[in-house]
Amino acid sequence: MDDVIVIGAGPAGLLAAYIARRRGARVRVLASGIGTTHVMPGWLGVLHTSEAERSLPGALEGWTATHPEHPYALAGLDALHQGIAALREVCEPAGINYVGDLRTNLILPTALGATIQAALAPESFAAGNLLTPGEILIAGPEGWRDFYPRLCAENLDRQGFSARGVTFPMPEIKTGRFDVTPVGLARLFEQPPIRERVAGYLRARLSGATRVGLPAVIGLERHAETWHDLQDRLGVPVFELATLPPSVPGMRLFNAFKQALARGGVPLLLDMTVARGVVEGNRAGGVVVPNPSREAIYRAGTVILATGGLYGGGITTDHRGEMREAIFGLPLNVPGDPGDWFEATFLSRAASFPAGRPHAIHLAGVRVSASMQPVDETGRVIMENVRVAGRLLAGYDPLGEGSAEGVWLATAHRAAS
Amino acid sequence: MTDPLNTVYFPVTAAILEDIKRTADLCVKCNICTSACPVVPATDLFPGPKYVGPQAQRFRDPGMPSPDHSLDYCSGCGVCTLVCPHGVKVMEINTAAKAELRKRQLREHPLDRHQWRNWLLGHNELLGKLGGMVAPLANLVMGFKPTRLLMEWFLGIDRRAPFPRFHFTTFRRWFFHTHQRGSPPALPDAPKVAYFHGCATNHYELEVGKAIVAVLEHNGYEVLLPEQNCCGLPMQSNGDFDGARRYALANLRKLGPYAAQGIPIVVGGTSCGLELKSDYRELLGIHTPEATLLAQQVYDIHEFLWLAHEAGRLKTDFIPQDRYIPYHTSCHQKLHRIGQPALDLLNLVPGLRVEEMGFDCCGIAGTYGYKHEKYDIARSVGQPLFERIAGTGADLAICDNETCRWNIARQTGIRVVHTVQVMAEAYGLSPDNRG
Repeated sequence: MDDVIVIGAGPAGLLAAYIARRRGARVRVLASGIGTTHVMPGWLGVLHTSEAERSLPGALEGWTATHPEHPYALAGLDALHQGIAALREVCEPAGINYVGDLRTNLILPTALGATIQAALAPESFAAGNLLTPGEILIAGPEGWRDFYPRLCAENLDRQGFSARGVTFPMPEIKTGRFDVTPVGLARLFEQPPIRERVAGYLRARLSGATRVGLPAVIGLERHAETWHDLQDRLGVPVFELATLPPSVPGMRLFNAFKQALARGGVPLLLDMTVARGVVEGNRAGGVVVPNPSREAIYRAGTVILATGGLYGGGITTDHRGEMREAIFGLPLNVPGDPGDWFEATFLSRAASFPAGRPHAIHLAGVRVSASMQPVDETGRVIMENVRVAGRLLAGYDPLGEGSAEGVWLATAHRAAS
Repeated sequence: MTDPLNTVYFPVTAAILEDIKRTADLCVKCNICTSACPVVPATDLFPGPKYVGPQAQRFRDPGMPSPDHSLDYCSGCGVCTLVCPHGVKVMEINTAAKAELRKRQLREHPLDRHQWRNWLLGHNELLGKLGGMVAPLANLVMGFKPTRLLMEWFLGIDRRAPFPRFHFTTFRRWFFHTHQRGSPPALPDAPKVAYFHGCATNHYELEVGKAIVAVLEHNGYEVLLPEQNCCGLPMQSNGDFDGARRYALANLRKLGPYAAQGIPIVVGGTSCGLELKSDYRELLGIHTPEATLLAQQVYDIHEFLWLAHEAGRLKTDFIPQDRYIPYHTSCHQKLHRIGQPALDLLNLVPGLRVEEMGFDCCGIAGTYGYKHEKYDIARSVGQPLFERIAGTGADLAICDNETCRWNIARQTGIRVVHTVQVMAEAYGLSPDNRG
């Protein structure tokens, strides 16, 4: 019997497990497989800010005041700050340092040359902050199907950020027998001769550029060393741009969590799909994991659900549009009828942000108390020793609000405390 | 050659394999498996599990030529299946495809020496028996450099591969002749446990079997030793599904009566256990009530002991140890989906500090690392683990899978034992009073 079982190996689950362990609990993580770390961009978005309210603390205060059911309002903004502090503890030993003052958002370029807002980003992303002036050289390996530097640069230029795009030769892509994934490229960048070659090529093409943007493939296991070395060889700051999955920055984060949990003696068990919970009155007795021979019960004092939402498997649906919380069958807060769930535009954004409304379906989830315990429609706690963290929560739209990472940071902290 | 078994089982087999193959449709092409695959960074002969698994599956039409060239370089470790968040049985898809690949290769290149080698590696039970008959001679010959060079040149079995030592006697002979004769009879109400020891324990590592018997008996169980044969995994992983199925059916006959009486069947080796639990049905397609019943009664030894602990019937009269031991979780242990009962058990021993090394695979993957063309890949996969273990300065490590144990011992130069051997020692069950 453990003190805490965390279900889910996405960032919410991993952070909750770390924090629970740090508080002295005996913790175990059970997950179907690797979670969203491997598809996340790497930066940490907390909330979009507007031209009218550029201050992030101001925007957060305003947002929680007007959205009392939002996870930020329930968990409290101190939970967000403590979640961030815990994440830094996890990441620093692995050489990942986040930058950002939490007073204003960074504006970072995407691989397509669009812009996004992030409260924090790994330092290898920082020089891409578009609030800092300076000409940008966007560079990528020639012939790589996942990144088009000229497209990125043109789009940035069109928005008034002076940028040029260039490709550099990467013969390994052609001589290798197979497709190159971001991870394969990251491993190539870990080889000093390859870095030297790329840096030499780009140095001759800087012509006034004060920073160089590359796809986020600058090293995996030896990222910090790889990035510093490349920057030294180029003589100008180098920043990374999030690529298509699998996300190398996300894998670095996963590895940092894995190491931190291993140091704390927390088992991280994959391919352990929890089929259902064991309900004993208004408590969870444990969870059931079927294996090839039998169903095994894992008992715990507290169960933290970090199973994800509709896309992560924490919420399942059927062909009638019935939605169900996957482990305990907790009541879900689903706004409106299926007819109201979707807006016309795919990347429809929140009302507070220019243009459009969020897809209501993204607000679906489990409603919780201030301690992240699941509640019914009347606000009564249904299961005392269950806590919910991350995307399974109701009442927020990560895409529209730009709050995806902020919510797991805050709610993982609250759920584990 | 027509195999009557195939005629009997073919329709069922096809249906079951179909199920595994259908999981290919769950693939969203995220490449998480490729980024986690330990073989990918070690060689450019293997593109990654997504490509040869769910992706290539779309081109594998029955009766059409297979598009596989690189599949053979999949080690079968199963890390892909473990990390996949979408439920794709990547390794299982590959294993099924390997059987087809082997059939084709046998047809096209019947004289290819690698086929002979794969046949030999699939018959480790036979090798153990034959080698055991002339153990001193066999050990002498196998320790002889020119023999190994010849084996490498002629069969493609790498000269550096970790071969265990043959023994004159077997574990079974020890159990029936020395142990049972020398021990008092079990108490009449002692719960019975049947022990599936597998080939490696019977022929090479008798001490593992002795420790398991000692620990079970110390905890008041009566240990039964059913008739049994090789689980069939070495054949299965070398693509010989027909041969594996023959072994499986023989084991079902021999172990069936124990399962039918509700006697738990414990298995010491993680791979043999997985074979009995899931592969007979899932991969070999033996979807009979007997196979299901057997699977329900099979326990990994650690799983069994941990459940006994949870039920309050495992003794914890351990002698406190002041010792640090590195532990490597074998790939097949993870595929049992039972968590980490071996580590949980070792945590019960006061003063014993056991650390999981945190690496996915030691590289050997059953017989993969024995093959000359794959030896360097296997070694490169395991290198970080070997360095980590060596770096701890420990003189003993634990791993619960036979070939992984031999591989790690060979590469690090330190002794590597089974969890239950460490438990037996902590219980104070020395080899002497184990009879």
